[in-house]
This record gives sequence, C-alpha cells and structure tokens, in this order.
Amino acid sequence: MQTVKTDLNQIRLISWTLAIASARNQLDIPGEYIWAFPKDQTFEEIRARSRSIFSSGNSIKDPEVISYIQGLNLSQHLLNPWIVNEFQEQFPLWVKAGTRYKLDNFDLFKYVGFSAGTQESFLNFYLANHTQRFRVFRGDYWWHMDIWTKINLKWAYIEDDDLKPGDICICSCPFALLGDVHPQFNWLIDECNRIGIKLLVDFIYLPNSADCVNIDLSADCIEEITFSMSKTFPVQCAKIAMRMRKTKPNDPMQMSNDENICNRLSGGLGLEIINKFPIDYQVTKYLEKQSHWCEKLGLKKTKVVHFGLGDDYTNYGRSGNDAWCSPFNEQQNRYNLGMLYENEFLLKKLMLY
Amino acid sequence: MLIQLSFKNIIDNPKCRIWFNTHKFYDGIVPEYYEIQSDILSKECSLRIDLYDKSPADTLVENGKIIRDKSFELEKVIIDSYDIQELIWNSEYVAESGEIYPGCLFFGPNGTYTLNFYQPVVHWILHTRNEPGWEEDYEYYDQACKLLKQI
Repeated sequence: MQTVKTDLNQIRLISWTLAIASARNQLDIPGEYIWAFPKDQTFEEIRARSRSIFSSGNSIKDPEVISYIQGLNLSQHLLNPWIVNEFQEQFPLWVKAGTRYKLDNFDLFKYVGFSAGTQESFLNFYLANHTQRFRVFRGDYWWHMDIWTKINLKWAYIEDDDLKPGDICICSCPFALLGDVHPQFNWLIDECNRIGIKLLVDFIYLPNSADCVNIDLSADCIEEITFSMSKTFPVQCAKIAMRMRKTKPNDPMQMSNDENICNRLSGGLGLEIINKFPIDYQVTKYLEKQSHWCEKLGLKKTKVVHFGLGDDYTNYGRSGNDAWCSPFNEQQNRYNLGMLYENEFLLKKLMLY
Repeated sequence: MLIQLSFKNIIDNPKCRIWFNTHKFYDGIVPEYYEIQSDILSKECSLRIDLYDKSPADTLVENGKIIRDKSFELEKVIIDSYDIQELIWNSEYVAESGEIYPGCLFFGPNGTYTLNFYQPVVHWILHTRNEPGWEEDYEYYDQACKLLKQI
C-alpha cells in the first residue's frame, strides 16, 4: 500500500502565509468568522489563525455562489408566509436528484422541518432524549460532546463501552473526521437495530461527497436525519438546515414549524440556492482541485471534496492540548482545503500553488 | 519603529529625558504618555529614560519616613504594536550613585532606566520568552512575510 507523506513544511508555510494575508486583507476571499480574522497583525494573532486555517468543516467559499447570494433580494421573503414551506417541499427533491450517493427509502422521511442550523435539531434531539446516554464515535462533531458535558447529559464514546438499552446514537455520514463513511457505520446500524436503540444520521457532508454513501434508510433505528447547508454553500451564520423524520416530532422546533415562525430570510435563501445550484455543485467544480492539493501537500484524498487527511501540522514544539476551539475537537488531521481553493489566485502569485 | 511609553504615579513634576539609541527624543516634565517614532535601521536598540534634576529637598521625610517623593513609574512599553508586558522588567535602573537595580520601573533617585532589545522586535520578544516552538513559528512567519512582500 502506498503511504502518503504529509508535506508539513509546505503546509505550515501556506498556513502562515494565508494567516498573514488574512490579517492584511489580502485574501482572494476573506473568512467569515471572528476567529477567521486575526484582529491585528501581531505575531500571536497570526500564529493563532495559522493554526486554524484548515480547521472547521465549513463549505468552500465559492465565488460564484457568493456573487449569486449577494445579488439576491432576501427581504422579499419576509412577506411570503409560504417561503419556508416551499423550501421544505423542494429540499427532499433536491437531495433525491443527487447522483453521487444512494439513499434507499429516503421517502420514508416525510416530516421535513426547517432547522436554524443543525444545532437546533441537535438541541431538540438532546432535549427529547435527555434521559438517555448519548453515544458517538470518537472524532465526530465535537459540539455534541462539548454541549453534553456542559449541560451534564450522560454520554460516552462508542469505542469506550458496549451499546446498551438506554443509549442513543448520533453518527455523521460521511463521518466528520474521515470524510468517508465510518468503517463501523454498518455495524452501528445493525447493532442499534438489534438492541432497539435510535440512531440520528447527520448527513452534514453528504452533498460534498462522492461515491461513498450507500445506505438503506428503512432501518428501524434511523428515525431522524439532518442536513446542513453551510457545509455545502457559503451561507455560514445564516443557519440553514433541515431535519427529516419518519414520524412527526413533538418538540419546540416542530412547534416553530407548525406556528409558521421559522426564519423566512434563511428559508428564502436556502430555497434560492437549491433552485440555482445542484446538490453536487461543489463536487463537480472542485474534485480536480482536491486532487491537485492532496498531491502537492501529501494528503490523502477523502470522499468529501473539501477534505484531505494528513499529519497534524500544528503539533510541534508546544505542550498541552492542541485541540482547536474545544477539547473534544479531535480533527487536527483533517484538512479543510477550502482556503486553498478559494485563494488560488493569491497562492499562484506567491508560487505556492 | 514606533515606541509607546506610558507612565504612572507621577508626583511633583519630575523631569526626564527619553533616549532611543543615541538620539534624545524628549526632555521635560514626565508626561503620562509619550511616543517615539524612529526610522532607525540598526539591529541593536536601546531605550533609556533618565530622571534628573531631583534634589534632596524633593523628598520629604517625617520621623524617618518618606511622606512625599518626587518620582514616577514606567507602566508600559509597546514597540511596533507589541506590548512587551513582562519583558519591561528585562532592564536595569542605574542610579547616579552607581547603584544598579535590575528590573526596576520606579524612578526614585536620579538615574537611568535602560531597556536593550533588538530588531525585529518580535524576534527579540520570542527569543527572550523562549516558549517551545518559537523558532519554527518565527521561521514560517518570516518566510511568509517575505513572500507576501512580493505582491
């Protein structure tokens, strides 16, 4: 088997260069979070940013999508009481039109609900199941573990204990850490079915994936699936997500849906995007870029177009916890390549392409 | 280079001179804040602050206890946007009497506070602090700065 050697030297140089360029407002496309902007040009600020350049799972900030979004008149959606409903109706069709994955029995999920980011769905899931013990594979979205710890819910990594009655599972698919289906995902479905416990499948990176997800959603344990728009399109902080369930839930989020008080600006934006761009827009556009950068930097390509895997480039010289943002964030080996795709013009000028 | 100095506890209008390398930038009553702007290119740098013109009469003593004293303190030094924080103590105060007080920010007796450092100041800060990994970090920082200078 061919081993890939991560070019940490080149990766570090690029990370520092992009961090300084971010501080000096020289990026082709700037970041969108406070943590993605060094607040000044001091060494400490730039160092901190350099260590998070490849973090996060957020979408590629594609210039065409950004330009399209900037040209929209979103305020009109505030006047349309049906806008969120329309988004909820169109969304499953948009997902079904995708050809790079296979979701058997997707139609079973007939209760479609707008979610203010997947975090709203997760919080409702925690609330509805707060007496259960939550279970995730190590390396899944750190926010779960962080919140469970903060609000004193019971939880354990799946690797650390057998699944038992009274447990409830969450698993991203493709898996967040790997950019591919978790090697034990099918085992997890079988085991959840056998024991009679539930499994929320988070399709967070599904739209940006190719040729890895093939799942029969009729499995009894899978009652709820979630989708996030901000991992596919540059709509971070617009909080656009969708929850789909086989049965109608009875929770605060569903009440917001039933009351028709969901965020119409976000719903309208989501609808405009899915009407304009196919679900695999980013895969089609960036698959070759992924090959280029993975080859150049010695990263292993994943099935998610904006991820590569390699050694941790921040793991040198320092002691202590290197986890970014949360002690449960164990994703330092996963590289979000978005910054490289977005800043191609700059990186070419600097001969770093 | 921009050096920003902040002073505090300024009592009875003491006089100071502020020097950067061989150039005297200020001579007068101690201000609360002073800025030095210099285009000096030399690697080695020396910031000096003199307290002068203080006489024994400026120190009031009652029953063997000082009750009022013409004096001031150096509070903060910022060099090129870097607050040098604890490195302000990496200095010495030499009184006219010849006594040396390492890391003294209190200007009591007439004398001179000296802070030696070098350019680039960020290198001096990192080198002096000597935190693990700083050399690699600086190397990439320096390379990246040079790259971006090209455009």
